Amino acid sequence: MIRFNSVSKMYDTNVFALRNITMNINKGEFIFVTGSSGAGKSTLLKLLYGELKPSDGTVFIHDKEVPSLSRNKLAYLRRQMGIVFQDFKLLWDRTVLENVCLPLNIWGKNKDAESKAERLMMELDIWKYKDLFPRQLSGGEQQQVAICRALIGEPWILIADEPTGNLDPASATGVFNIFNRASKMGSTVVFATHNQHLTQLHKGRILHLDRGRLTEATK
Amino acid sequence: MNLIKDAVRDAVRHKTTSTMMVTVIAISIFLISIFVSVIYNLGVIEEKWSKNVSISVFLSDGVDNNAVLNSVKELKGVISAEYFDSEKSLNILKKRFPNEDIMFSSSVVPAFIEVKTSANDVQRLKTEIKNVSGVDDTVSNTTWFDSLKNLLSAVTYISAVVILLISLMGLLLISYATRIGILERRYEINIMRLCGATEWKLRLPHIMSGVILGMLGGIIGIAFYLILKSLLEGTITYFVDSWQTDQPYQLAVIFLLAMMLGALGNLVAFLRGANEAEE
Repeated sequence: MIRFNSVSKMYDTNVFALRNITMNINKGEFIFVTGSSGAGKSTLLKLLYGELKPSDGTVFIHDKEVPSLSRNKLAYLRRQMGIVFQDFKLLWDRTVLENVCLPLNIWGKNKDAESKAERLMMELDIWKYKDLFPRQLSGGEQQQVAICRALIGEPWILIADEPTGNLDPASATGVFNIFNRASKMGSTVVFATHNQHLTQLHKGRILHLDRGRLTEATK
Repeated sequence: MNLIKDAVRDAVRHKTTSTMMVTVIAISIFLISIFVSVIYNLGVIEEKWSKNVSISVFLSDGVDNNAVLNSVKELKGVISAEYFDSEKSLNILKKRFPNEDIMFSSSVVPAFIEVKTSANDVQRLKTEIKNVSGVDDTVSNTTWFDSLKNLLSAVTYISAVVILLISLMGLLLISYATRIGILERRYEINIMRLCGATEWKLRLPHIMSGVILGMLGGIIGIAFYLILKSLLEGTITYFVDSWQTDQPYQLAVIFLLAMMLGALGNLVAFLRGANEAEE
């Protein structure tokens, strides 16, 4: 389903964020991506959802070559993805509910947006904040809003960049369980984290990045 | 419906940009309305004066004046024809040159028929009148009309160029003003792209908000123009009695132009600004 073919990403001359990554991720698989800061985790995820283009090699999703997709084709591919960004990327002038419903509103699927949002937000206990603006929430709560937004479209691929970075251990486990459930329902999950506790809970593959190079450990 | 709602919300959310845009459109439309009115009325003036060209027809000695007059009146393109005997001709001369001491008597001033026609028919009519029995010569002076026509054409042409320049300037100013807004919104556009928004999904609310702000600017611009016109109408018609009020279709076209300016300005700004939001 997802294939990295000798992918390298160089930001500046001679500074490699990723070096010669080749890997496959199967449909419904839950993958952890670990590594220290600057190891290349975020770059790997950005290559997946097409925000960055590789300097060398290529990335395939559903046999579509992501870097060569037109903007519109990339937009339709992204509709199959739910992305949790490290910096949340919330819209500050929209309410929490509007932020969560954003993908469905963009896709023109407004009909059940609010009921879907309510179900997800109740699960993460943030429904009470629906009319507040992101600025009025703590970092952890903002992260939960971003997670709800990623999940609302019931994506085939869930990409999460440190989605538990600002959460207490109990909330982090709650988020992990939600992603785990999505995986069991057929979604492919790529989950970048530092959280040792979560990696211990995980039973699947862990991809470890070390200064842009990939080492894989299977539990 | 959602598109209009999004567009209105978009316009309200970015008040400064929206206000700048409405102001630019209102000023452009106000100026364009003035020039459109000038062009329209120059056309009316030219048409009116073109129907007021005359040919002087001099008769041979001893002919039946009434017979010639009737023959001339029957020719196609003659608006009116009037016979002036020597006495009347002398009076006309005296009226035209009141300060000159007219020494000659009516016996040396020739009788003539004055034919009123339109500028387009002058040359043909002159030839046809010359062929009428009893006509000695025909004289017409269309130089003044040709000069006037050239002058009016030049003013019309300049006005059209000014309208085009105002529209382009307006478009440029709008696209510049809204581009600042779009650059401010790069963050939002980028998030929407990452959530799967297609380019047209991103553009349409901007275009629609341009149309709405264009309508608003158009209404304000036209309203100011109508106020100015009502204030100056007396003065204008004093100098140009044939000055006509605007036709509803003129205002409708100007209003349409205002909406187009808004939509195009926002689209150009989006195309220029949003590409920078990609990375």
